[in-house]
Amino acid sequence: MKKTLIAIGVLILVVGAAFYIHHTQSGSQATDRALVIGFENDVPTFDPLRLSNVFALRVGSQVFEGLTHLDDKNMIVGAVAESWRSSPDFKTWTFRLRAGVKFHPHATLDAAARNLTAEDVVYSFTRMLSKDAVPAGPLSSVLQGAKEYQEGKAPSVSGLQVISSNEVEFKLIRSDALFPGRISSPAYGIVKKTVVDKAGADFGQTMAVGTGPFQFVERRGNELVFKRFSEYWGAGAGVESLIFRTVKEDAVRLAELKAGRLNATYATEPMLNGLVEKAGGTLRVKESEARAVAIQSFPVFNTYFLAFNYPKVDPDLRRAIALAVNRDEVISAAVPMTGMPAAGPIPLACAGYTTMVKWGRDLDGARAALDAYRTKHPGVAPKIKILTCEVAQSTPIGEVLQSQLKPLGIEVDIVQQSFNAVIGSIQKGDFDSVVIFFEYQYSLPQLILENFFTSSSIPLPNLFYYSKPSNDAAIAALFETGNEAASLTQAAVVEKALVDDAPGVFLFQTQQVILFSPDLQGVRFNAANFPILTNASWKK
Amino acid sequence: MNSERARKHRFQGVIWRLIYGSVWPVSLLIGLCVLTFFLSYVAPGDPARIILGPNAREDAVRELHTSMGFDRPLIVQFGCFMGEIATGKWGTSWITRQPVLREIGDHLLPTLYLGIFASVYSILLAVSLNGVCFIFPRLGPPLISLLRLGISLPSFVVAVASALVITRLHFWSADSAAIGSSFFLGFAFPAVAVALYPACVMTTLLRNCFSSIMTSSYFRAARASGFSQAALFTRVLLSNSWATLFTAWVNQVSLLVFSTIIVEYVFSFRGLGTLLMRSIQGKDLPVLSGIILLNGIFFLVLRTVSESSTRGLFEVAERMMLRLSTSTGDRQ
Repeated sequence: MKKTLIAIGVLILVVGAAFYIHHTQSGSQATDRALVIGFENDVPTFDPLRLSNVFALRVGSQVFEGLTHLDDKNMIVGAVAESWRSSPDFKTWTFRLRAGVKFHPHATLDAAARNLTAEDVVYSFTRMLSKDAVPAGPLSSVLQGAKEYQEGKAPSVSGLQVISSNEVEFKLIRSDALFPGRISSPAYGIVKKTVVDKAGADFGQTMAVGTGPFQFVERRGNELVFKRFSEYWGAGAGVESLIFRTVKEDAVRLAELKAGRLNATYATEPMLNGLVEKAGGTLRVKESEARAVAIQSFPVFNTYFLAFNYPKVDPDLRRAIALAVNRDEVISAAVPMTGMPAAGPIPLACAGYTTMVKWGRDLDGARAALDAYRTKHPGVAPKIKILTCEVAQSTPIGEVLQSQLKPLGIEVDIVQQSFNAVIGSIQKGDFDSVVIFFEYQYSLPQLILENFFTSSSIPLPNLFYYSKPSNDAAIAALFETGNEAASLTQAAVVEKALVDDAPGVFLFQTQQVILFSPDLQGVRFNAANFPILTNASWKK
Repeated sequence: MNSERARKHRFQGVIWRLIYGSVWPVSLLIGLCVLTFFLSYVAPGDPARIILGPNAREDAVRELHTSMGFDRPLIVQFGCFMGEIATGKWGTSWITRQPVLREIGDHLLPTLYLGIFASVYSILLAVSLNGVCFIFPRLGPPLISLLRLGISLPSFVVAVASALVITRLHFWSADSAAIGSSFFLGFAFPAVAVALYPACVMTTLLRNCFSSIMTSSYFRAARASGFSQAALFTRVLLSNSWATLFTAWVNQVSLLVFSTIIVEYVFSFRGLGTLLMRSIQGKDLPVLSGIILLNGIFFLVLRTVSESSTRGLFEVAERMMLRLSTSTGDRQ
């Protein structure tokens, strides 16, 4: 018996030692030169056609490039397009491709010719117009022949033309002075036909080839592994390899960062408690944690709001609620670290944009609006139903609004549903109001207004059901001028008129906080929340 | 003539038993398919809207909705769904466009590894704790208190705590989980969280079984004949408890599966639990049905195997008891 016990003990020791050696070696190999970024969500695919969530977009932005993209100053700049020009009526756009843009090499998918050509651009944009393609919507509403192609009435998109091996032409059905901004998302990334055909359903999941600064290596468990593309046309990535790792638990992600096994992670609000302090609106790491963690924060393209069903809810009641809300209190309850009060739908991060909307609580104004409501509806108590869901602090925000409106005599019923159920209710128009948020892919205020506040986008994304011919005409006019500054000023006028109509109460926007290991430097982000790693390096 | 008739009767009996035996599992699987389809149908959310995202315009959603066949009558959709299952296609994931069987195959290994480790741990723990309690009776009460604590701890808490402990241990980090599907030993520590509750339950059941054996005549005879404590444990108690232990394990498998989903979430394994959560959130009906069917088949097989093995184990135990009684009788 004793001998058996000793033998078992020795065996355990040997296996443990072997495991220790194996693991420490494999661990050091894996992390020596890789920049590891932690995500809280899985990315099942980053095929440009399926880039419907922010996590996939962040990954996709490293591998795929479109004609244009958003730089770290939130300006639209050329990606694989070197330059572009338009006709005077902004209905024809010609993009000139950069010379020497190459697709990533791939052992099994490698095409003979790896240089990007105009045919690749036409193929990619045609592919994006397939029925189940996420980026199809915004394109099919402006591109000539897109509808006919989608409906199977045409074999190709008539508005897409190869002019020469390095020039592509887009013909639009209406003026769009902001077309380069419309196609700046990584969802409009250029791919190669032979590669996509060979990879089939694996494209974007276990195989991917683009022209971006990083080339995809493999999917390993919950990691997506990339390496620097040495033939990248621009300033290459500053680190040799990159790993996006899914670690769902906030506490585990933070512990991994502190232990040095993650080098950066997108922080959620709960992760910041006890780690970060707010001083005069600026976030900084507490002294006790400064050795293990560094931070960077920046405003991103989002808005949290209470959306009214515009035609259903009485205008005086809408206005009363909009004036009665105390945004600071909402922020303190929901996102004390990252929230910034906002009164309009346009993100504060939009480059060159200055809002005309003034925000602030006006209780007298709210009472006056309520009096007007009561005069119109004698004997009817002001009442509203707020839909909330499990995402984006929707229910806590609803509860704060409920407590703020109660003293004014506005009765609020909170109805909690799943996110999908809320979207279903919005689609049917079966709601009074809903607490929800927008995460914009667009960086231009004009595109945001067009996509979310015109009659043609009802019921979604225009979940407000906000429809006014004058508003539609004003938004359409924003796309007809080539004067960028004038267009932005006019967009601010449209936003102000929109907010005055109170289709919703725009509560706050958030800034993204990134937690870093202190030995990492030079990582930048744009307001669409994509990492830009060209200057990333390790401190010596 | 009589023997021929008897043979015919036996043959008919076998056929009937086969038919009767297969009716139940087949009807159960069909029931599962029907339930999955209708649950997904009534669950909120339009799959076309989920695929294209909340920012997609309604006309695009409507077009995709039609092209995916969701505008057809419910009975036609159900017929197509059952047809796909019956022909072994199991459909294609609406999220990734991969065949369902491939999706399941890609996510199977982490769950399998976790399950294997957790089963081994729970059986080893149940046996060794009872062994310690039997050989060193003074250790019994504190161990039982620990067991109660184990039973009262939710899997989620244990999983989060062990994940945090793992990240603190320098040599054994949670990125072993990242290596996950290719690194078998990476699952060894997280599986503790899965095994804890079943191990506590199995220890208690085994302890009860030991108590009843200890009151039996053959146990008293074995003790009287001079067996050592260790021999009593291995040759009398343990050898007569395998059937109980096996049945207890089979009954804990459903709990193991449930705990695995939680642990997969906490450790971010790309396993079947993660896939299940994704398919529920994304209303990915083909994948959801695939997982539910696979689960149904697994439990059917497990039930069949456990029934026949338990019978076998009881027979072996009876033979061993007989041999033991004979040997102790010889000694006396």
